[in-house]
Amino acid sequence: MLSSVAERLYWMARYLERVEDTARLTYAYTQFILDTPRGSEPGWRSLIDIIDGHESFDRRYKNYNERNVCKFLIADLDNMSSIRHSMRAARENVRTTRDVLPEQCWELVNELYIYVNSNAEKVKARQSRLDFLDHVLAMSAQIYGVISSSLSHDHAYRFMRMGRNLERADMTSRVVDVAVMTAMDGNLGDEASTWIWGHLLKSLSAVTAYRREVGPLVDANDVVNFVFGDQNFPRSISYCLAVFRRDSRALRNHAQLDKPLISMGRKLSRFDASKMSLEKLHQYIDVFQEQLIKLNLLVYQSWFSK
Amino acid sequence: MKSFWENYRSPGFFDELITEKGTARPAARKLVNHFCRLDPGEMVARGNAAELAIKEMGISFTIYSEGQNIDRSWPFDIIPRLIKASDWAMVRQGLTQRSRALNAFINDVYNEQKILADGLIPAEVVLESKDYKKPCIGFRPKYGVWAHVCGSDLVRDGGGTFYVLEDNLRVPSGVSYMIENREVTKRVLPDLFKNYSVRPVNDYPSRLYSTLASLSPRERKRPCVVVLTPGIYNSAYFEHAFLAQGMGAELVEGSDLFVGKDDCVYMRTVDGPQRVDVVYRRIDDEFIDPEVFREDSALGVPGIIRSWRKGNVAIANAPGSGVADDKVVYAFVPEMIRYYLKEKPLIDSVKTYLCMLQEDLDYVLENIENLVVKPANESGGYGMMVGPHASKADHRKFRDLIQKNPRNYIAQPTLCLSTAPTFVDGGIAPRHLDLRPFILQGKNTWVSQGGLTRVAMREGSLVVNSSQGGGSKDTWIIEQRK
Repeated sequence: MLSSVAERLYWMARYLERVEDTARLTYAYTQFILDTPRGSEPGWRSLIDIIDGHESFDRRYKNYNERNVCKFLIADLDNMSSIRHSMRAARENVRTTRDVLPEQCWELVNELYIYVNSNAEKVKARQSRLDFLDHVLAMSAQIYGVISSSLSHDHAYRFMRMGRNLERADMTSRVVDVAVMTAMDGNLGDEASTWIWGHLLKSLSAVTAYRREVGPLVDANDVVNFVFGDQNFPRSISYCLAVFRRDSRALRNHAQLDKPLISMGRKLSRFDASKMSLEKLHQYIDVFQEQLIKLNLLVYQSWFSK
Repeated sequence: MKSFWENYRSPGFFDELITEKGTARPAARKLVNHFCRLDPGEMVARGNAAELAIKEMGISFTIYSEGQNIDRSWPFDIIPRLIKASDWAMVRQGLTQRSRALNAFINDVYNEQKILADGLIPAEVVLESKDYKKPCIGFRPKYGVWAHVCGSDLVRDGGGTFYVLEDNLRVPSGVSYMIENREVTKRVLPDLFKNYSVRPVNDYPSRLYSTLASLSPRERKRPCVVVLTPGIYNSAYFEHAFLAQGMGAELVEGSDLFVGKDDCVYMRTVDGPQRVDVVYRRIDDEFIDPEVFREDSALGVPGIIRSWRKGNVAIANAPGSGVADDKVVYAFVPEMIRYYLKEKPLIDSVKTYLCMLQEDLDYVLENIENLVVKPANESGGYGMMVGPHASKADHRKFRDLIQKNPRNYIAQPTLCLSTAPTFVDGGIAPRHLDLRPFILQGKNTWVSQGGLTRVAMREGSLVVNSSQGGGSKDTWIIEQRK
């Protein structure tokens, strides 16, 4: 497998995951707003917090209202995390790796790109926005379906899964972080703050998995522990890192990543939200994200550098 | 809507589907009947379906316009062009013969130069051509074959006879569109196939792989073949990716390859360097090796020519093959066939006037308004002039150009290019077309079933190049009922 191709596959998967995560996040948040009583809505600003997008947001908009935030997340090309930008980047990476991917994969990615490109600007009303996001989520699932069922689970697949899991671990930790910060804010009533954790589960499509594993009661510490430490849920941080580690070990030249991965895994296995203040948790997530950045760098050094 | 077809005539030209009297040719009868049953609305719907399929399949080509790269969807006409298998058999033989002679010629001019010594072709035509590459002198590739992939442009005249208009021996493109055109027809007009036995075209990538694998310097069950592309901004990038995928080969750019201390070519992989046996290159000679050709080339692989000359890697087409691509050399192909193969040419070339010869030059200057003038080594239809369609000012301009550099120009009579019914502006109208079959030569020689039919979409136009607004058609080689 060519280093340059591995790099493109890795990024293609990261971008596709970003499309899916941003779509799910926006979808869940729109629904969350519908559930909150008038007057106590937490505002749309926190979605911009999640993607660290204040700088480019402020350049274009004054108000953090629903319309601006959604436009920024869905359609703005100068927002590197927007659905439209990520989809374009994903397509560009598929376009240059078509020879390794199943043919249907290119067609679906291209189709989704065309769909996003021609509809992203139109989704002002909630109804059309939800329809749009629904379609994006369905198509993303279809693309992954094709990849996992028609691409050999070889190096190409491993690099894609590594990209995907790194992006996913990153996004999961950001979603938790925003929930933590919203809870710390203290402006919400007690009732609203329990919604935060339920909403967190929804943004990660984790509601059913949580109920089956933990139970029907949504408790802040249980939710955070589940999202961080569950061994079987594919969006939990522990799971993402475990699969990432397994994939990296199947490749040659993985030695550099072993140590940091083992130490991250050990730290996660000792993780317990009930023993941390919200402030501590926020710091913990900060450190964790720095480690993800370092992992990305090691991936480059081990396999992509020329 | 019968009237579409009832009123269709293409006076003065050979039409591929309809006779002069306006009836369908026997082989095309069922096809024409099928289209007759589609009303205008349905024709438009099928056309749109084809357009959508092309967009979704991502069949595109890149054009340069005002300094920008624009990715355009591939232009496609839904009415296929038909050729009887018995007619095609003759063409295939002619093309095989031609490809063998051309390769014998290239091998000769880089080695013994017998044909030049015997005076059949003026030596300066070959040796002073910018496509005669000195670094290739004295090299003998496997099987004596230099041009492994050849795309020859064929046209039919008023009587329906096939002629070769030019041979493309450098990096001919278009084969992926040949295959995709069939895919699109299968998607949007599946019923059309019911009454016909159409020869499939999708085996091309595996034929190409066999041809390339036969060139491998190492005896291996599965030699490492790569497709070398200039990158995403090349107009044929779609095709490079398509062929790499079809062959299960890596699609590489120059920076993915390097030449090791042992003068072998390697690609950079996630497992470390891996040796490459065959490079199917889709970049021009000038850019392939900055150590030998253009120093400023960032697309090529430094040292690859050294590795090739040592026999450590095969390059297809071999560097220097373009020497036979010259339109002046083209005029001598029938001579080559008689000289090298001791055979009679089975397929004709178009009468060609060489401006380097005084007699021909006089004729060309005198009759320029009736001739097609072409530069000797350009492709893509650039820099040519179609006399009858050009202005007086253009005639003057080309007379000047020719006189300044006669070696660089040839002229040919304006051909009555054949036509075929084409769906334009909501109706059926005759449009001129050509055909580019693909010839593979390695250990064996093979010719594609049909090829890429290109259509001039403007009324009366003879320019079929997609970079200049040409379209395309699916091409059917059909088996006759026994």
